[in-house]
Amino acid sequence: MKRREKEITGIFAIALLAVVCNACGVWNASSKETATVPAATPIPADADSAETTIRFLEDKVKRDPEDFVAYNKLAGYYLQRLRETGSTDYLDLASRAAKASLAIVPQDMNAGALSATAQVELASHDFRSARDHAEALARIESNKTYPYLIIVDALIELGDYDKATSIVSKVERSLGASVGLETRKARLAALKGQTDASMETLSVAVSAALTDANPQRENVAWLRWQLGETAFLAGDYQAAERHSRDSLITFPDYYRALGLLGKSLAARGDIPSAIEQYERAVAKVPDAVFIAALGDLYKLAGREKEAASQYALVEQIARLGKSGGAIYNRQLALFYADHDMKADEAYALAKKEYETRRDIYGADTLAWAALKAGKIEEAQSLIKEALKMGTRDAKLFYHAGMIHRAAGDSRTAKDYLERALRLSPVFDPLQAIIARRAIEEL
Amino acid sequence: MFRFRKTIAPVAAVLTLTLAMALAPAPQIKASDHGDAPINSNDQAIDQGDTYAFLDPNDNSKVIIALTVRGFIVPGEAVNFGFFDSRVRYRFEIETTGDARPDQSINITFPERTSPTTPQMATVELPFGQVFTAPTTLPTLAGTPNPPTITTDAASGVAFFAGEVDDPFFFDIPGFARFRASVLAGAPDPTQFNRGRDSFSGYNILAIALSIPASLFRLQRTSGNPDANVIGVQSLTQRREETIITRAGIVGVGKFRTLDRSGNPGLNALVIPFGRKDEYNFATPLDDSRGQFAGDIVATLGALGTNATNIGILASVYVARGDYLRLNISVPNTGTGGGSNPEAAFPNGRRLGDDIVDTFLFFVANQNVLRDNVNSNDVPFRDTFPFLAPPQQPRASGDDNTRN
Repeated sequence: MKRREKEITGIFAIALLAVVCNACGVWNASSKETATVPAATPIPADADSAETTIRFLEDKVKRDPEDFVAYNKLAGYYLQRLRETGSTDYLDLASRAAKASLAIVPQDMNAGALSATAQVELASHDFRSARDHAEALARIESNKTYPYLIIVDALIELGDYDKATSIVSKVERSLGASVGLETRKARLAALKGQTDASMETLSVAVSAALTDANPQRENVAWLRWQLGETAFLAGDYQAAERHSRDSLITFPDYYRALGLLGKSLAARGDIPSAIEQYERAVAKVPDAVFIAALGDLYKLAGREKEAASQYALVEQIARLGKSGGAIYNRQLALFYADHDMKADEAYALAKKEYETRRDIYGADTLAWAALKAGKIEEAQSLIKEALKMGTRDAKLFYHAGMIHRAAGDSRTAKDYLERALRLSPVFDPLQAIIARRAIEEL
Repeated sequence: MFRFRKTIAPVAAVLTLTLAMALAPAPQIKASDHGDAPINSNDQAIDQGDTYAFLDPNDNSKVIIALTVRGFIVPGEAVNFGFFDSRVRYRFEIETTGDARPDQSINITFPERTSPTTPQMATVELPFGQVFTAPTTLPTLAGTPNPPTITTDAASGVAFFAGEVDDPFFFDIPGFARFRASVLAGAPDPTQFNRGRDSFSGYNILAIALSIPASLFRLQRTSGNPDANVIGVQSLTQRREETIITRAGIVGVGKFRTLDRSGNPGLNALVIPFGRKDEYNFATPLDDSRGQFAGDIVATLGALGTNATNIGILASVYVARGDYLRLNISVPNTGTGGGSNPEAAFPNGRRLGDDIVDTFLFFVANQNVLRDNVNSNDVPFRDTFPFLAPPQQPRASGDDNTRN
């Protein structure tokens, strides 16, 4: 064959491969998942009892504005509502209720307000304060598990994995096992690259949670969703889809499960269905990550104008969000870097975030932003930090590959990029294409 | 008393909010870029409220003992929270020889709840080996509560009740917190008690109550109990020392260990410093009598201005022979709501209607009158067993049934 024809054939072959491999997920996902969970059934919403309870408590604080117990309980209900809807209006309400309670009875006598405060801080990404308040809570509630769950959650976000691990072990030994501890164990296992163990632990947690006579709907749906997210991380798109559907059976229109379903369908190459799910998800909760993902899918489907308006919405949400930059620094930085936009701003956002939140994903975000801002050396040392736990995450490998490529180390770059795609061929609809193109250019 | 009842923010029930939520033009979203696993747990099942011990005013040959646990239940939460944890052992320890060592015990355990409309069948182990079973009283969201299910065991003559009740305790927590702060700041201000509102008003709690023929305790004359007429009572909540999680659920393994204990009102919550509460919960009356907490008690009461004489009086009640309620069964108890005659009041055991806060404050204030101005429960107690008031039920909006 003449050289020119060879070239064209080569390009065509690669383009074909790219298209075909968008459906790679189906073939790749032999559903090697051994972790089994009981079949999903709908769980009733229990709305009535909650409604009368809220009304009771709100009436109570009207009659007695110093009923700190009622404020504590209200904070708890608002926090649960936040979990279900994602709306930070509930975060504000919970915060105000906790503060009102503490103004009446100080924290050394007020475990309920202290607990609500720590949980509000977790949700607001003030992880240091959350940790400190949860430690104070553990001192006055030392025969209970729940303060340690908050501490561990905060430590993981701060990157203090060793301490988080040791607290989980200690609490399990001294206070006993629980579904809450199992989910933290699963999270730590996934961070350490033990994805199979993480799946197994989560599946035990789901099964155990379901044996409760009165299981809580959102909690069970969350566990199933988390199982699905972990499966997706392992490149098992079939399992991810199945778990997301199970989550939706448990809790119809649970926004997290809608997003995961969209992600799974996109990974299996079904873009139109993926778009449908993401549209449902963002209609429920305009989550910045979902909106960005929807934009990417519109782009893939050739719907440029709609893509552009989603991208604009991401920025708007992140900037105008009530709790502001604190919650969105990371997502926005990643969004900019992924789409080669506003490199300096992305870098500044990621750097600010990493100042206090020094977990591996903070290092990864800053590494990626640093690369796009032309700071190759910094990117190299940061991505090393991001990979230190052995986390098996295709995005980390992809970032590492692109950084090594920019640093001129083609061999290592190719290794990482191939590793990313072997683990999860469609870890991200757009970024996976970029990864593939980079491999062939190397 | 002084049971701040660990007011935990529950994260248990799904809800729809009745407040009008004005959505801002740019929707306010919480990012889910970090792990946010649920933070609920059934930890509150071991949280003790109060312990009571008194003679049945209708028949002074019967001793009534009761414990309350898992408080601050809102009427609308009755079905979600109104059941007993199957992995908890509820235990009364009875002291009959006048020292700190318990002599007898009564254990109550429950199987796992199978459905919100099926009573749990309690197993009650009496001293000296008798055992019987009895169903719980179911909670309900209806306008009126279910009548109390009372089981009487023919063999022992013991009557049993377990279920949701109105929280019998009455006390102004913010008033006390401010008074305490004023004392610690060097300027005691009793006017902080002018607020006088019952922090427990309108809330329900779980209770286990038994009516026991006094003869069942087989009291004997000992040097510590020369007239064989004093019974010491404390209550404990326990879990097994190890807990395992499997797909089939969560299972307790090994010996029971105590997670919370309750005898005299106020000792643990008020007097023991927060840093040592764990130690107190895991300790025993023997530790009390050996003075394990003496330093803390002296320090705390001293800081509140109590002099040595009155510290001694409180210590003699609370810890000298362990933290038990001590009931003299030869002192007649008469009156409604479980008894009201002054002669039979706390620290002679403890009746539902006794204002133990005022009694405690009297000694704290060196036998000057000091009151929290919350003098009775928000709803009346029953005049017959189980004496505890029925649980408060959900009402129409605008009436939370708070009568404080």
